[in-house]
Amino acid sequence: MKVKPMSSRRVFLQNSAAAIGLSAVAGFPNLAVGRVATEKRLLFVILRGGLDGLTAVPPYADPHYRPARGALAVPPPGERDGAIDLDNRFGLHPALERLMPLYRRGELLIMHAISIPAPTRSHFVAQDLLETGAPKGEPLRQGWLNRALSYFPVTDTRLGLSVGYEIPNVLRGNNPVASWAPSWLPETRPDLLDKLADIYQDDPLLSKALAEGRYAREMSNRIIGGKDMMRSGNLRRERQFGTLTKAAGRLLAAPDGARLAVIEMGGWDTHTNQVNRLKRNLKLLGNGLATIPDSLGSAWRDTVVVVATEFGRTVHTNGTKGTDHGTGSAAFILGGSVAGGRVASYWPGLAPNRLYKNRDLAATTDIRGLFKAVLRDHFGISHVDVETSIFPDSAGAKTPPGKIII
Amino acid sequence: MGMTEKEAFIAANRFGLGSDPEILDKIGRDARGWLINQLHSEDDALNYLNGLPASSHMISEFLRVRRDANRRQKFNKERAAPLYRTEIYRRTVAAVKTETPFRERLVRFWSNHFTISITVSRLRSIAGAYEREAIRPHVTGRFVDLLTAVTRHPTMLIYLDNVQSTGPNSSFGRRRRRGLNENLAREILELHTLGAGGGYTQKDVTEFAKILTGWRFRSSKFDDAGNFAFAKFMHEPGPKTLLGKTYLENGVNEGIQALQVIARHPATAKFVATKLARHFISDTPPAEAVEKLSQIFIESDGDLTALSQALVVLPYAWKEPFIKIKTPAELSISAFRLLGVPGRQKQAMAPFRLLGQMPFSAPSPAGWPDTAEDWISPESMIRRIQLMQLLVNRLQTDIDPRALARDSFGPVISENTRLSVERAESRKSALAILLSAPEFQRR
Repeated sequence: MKVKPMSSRRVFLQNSAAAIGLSAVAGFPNLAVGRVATEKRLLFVILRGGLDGLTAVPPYADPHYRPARGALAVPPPGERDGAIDLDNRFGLHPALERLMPLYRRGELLIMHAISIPAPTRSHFVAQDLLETGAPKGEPLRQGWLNRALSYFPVTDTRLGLSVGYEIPNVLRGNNPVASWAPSWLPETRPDLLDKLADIYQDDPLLSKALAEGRYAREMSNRIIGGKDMMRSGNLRRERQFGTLTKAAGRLLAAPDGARLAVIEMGGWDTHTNQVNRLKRNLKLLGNGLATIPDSLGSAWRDTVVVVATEFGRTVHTNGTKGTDHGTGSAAFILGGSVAGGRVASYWPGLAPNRLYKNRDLAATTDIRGLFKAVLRDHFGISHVDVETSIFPDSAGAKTPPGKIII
Repeated sequence: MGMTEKEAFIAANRFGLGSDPEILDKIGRDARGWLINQLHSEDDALNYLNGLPASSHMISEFLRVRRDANRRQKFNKERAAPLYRTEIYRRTVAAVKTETPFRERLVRFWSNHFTISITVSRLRSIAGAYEREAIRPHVTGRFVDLLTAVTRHPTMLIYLDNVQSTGPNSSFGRRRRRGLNENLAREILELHTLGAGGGYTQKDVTEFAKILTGWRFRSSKFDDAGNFAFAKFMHEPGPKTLLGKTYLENGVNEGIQALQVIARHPATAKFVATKLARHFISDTPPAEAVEKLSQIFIESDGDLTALSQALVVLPYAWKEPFIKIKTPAELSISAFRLLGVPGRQKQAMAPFRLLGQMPFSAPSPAGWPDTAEDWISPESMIRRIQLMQLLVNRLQTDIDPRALARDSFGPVISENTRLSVERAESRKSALAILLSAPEFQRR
């Protein structure tokens, strides 16, 4: 029989939250202080809309790449606007150039031809699979990062954290999580919040959100300090990826900060005018990711950043200078202890007879294999727990080629 | 508190756009009748929306400047941006003041079902017009007409890239080597009609995309610029097979016929019924409710008046007054209904912006999500409270919170909330508590 996860973290936190109603003065924030049992951190970046892996990490040496892609192909290294060479096979899109120092230091690992286990061309079904870790069809009820929280040590009171307005599916579930977003709204007086905690006591949804929200606010105000990042009132800047990565870096770095954080970034559904749109978006992505090591400081060596998308895009250009929903894409794994500096892939090739359904880059790596390896090798969650509880029915999802963590 | 008072509250909040003392009096004893009457009366919101420009007008204006970067920039700044602000402000005022709030809720439901979004920035000047032209006239009509109006509308054709989609074997496609863009075809099947599990294949998507090639709008050379037009020179010639039915080459009629078939598909009935029940009844609506609505949809051949009426008379929606969480937009509008809508556009829009639900800006073609989990997070909970406090602090007038609690929430307010409002240290605190309470955050 399977041993239950050590953690009654969930129960523990729920009790703490409930205690607020009884003892408003003691409050939640005290829980944020105290020794932590794990120094390991994970930032999961979800690229929504379907990243074109063939543009982000062009397989420029594949003889079928340029003919299939035409004007959408990233030129090979050395040509104008050409890719930055990675390993004589793959290049990095020039808009991602700020990731190159990480790659050279061996702190960036790229996986190519990777996808969710059951290909689908629906964004929403695909994102459900990516985030709940389901093998196919019906999504599971909880996000896999939320399930992973159950395996954190019982003394660990820190929360999983969504850096953004809402909690994405990957973090949703029974374990409490927080969210943080830059805001210039005036803070509410504690006595009003105490009063509301009392009024909410018969409303589990609201009372849980309020308790966790107060806790997260306390934590983020203390760690991020003042309101320097929040005051702008400029929604575009507030929501920009760089703002969120900086905040996430600081919230993860703090000794009593979050340990699992998630950022979502949209704008990848490039059906039209792909060249310019991707150039712009990749730049935001690369520049944002490049700030993370600095924000994390010495915690960088304990941190893994995983950047993944729900699916790749068609190999051939569509009729409107873009690409349609495809299958295999690329994922990025960054971190001070990542076994990087390479592109790990069983490359299926772009020859017409190698494409999935005659149109997509075939997937040779099940993305759950990557997630499982991170949970096991980075957090030390046992093989059995990863295989049975966090990613059920995933035995077929093998670990990708080579080690992920040094 | 009697049953009829509770039902009036539910009618005003669950089906309408919020409670206020007058509206509960107006609804009186026949809550269902009050709702059903709205399906048969004029759209009162129109009184607040007159004089706004047609999409064709704005498109022609844009077409005249598009080739000149300076004039284009000027258009965006001086025409499109102010028009968008005016549209969404007027639309908010309409929602706050309309005498047919149930009808208005249906407009917003369908508008979200058939989402367009200014995340595609050139839609800014025609986002409001889309709702006025394609959605509003059809919410009590037939589903097939709504679907057709939406699919023909330039805003949708631009949003989901159909204006560029070209039959590879059309004259234009051969000459310019252009081809299909399947975005619109896919989202019609997945998000507007059959739903993701609705039994179509990638082949169906491609074939449907071929059927829809040439669905565009007139360019500036013609008098009817900016109106829907079928571009034969972009249409993929030859027969196409969609969902097992073959459509012989027939120009624009292929698409019209295909939409008629899809609109009547049983999977569409089920998909629409599920979304409607989720929106009005509960995040996890009872199967019988979905089944009933689905059946009415099929039997009435997609008559949306019959469908909305069936929804109102279902018993499930009347059991529990606070089962649904208000979306940020619903929360903001209901707050304005109680406190008054700000006279300045910027202030009226602040709540939408701060809670992340600016009108016509949904993050994806799936529209805004519709369950509690999507809208209540730790961060958004704190923001909701802060925002209620902000609205109260800005109030210029004196409102008596105790009277408000009694007259607008009387039938349903909990003892705890009532006492907290009564004992609050100031009027403003009392109001902030009332607006943050579950009785106001839910519907």
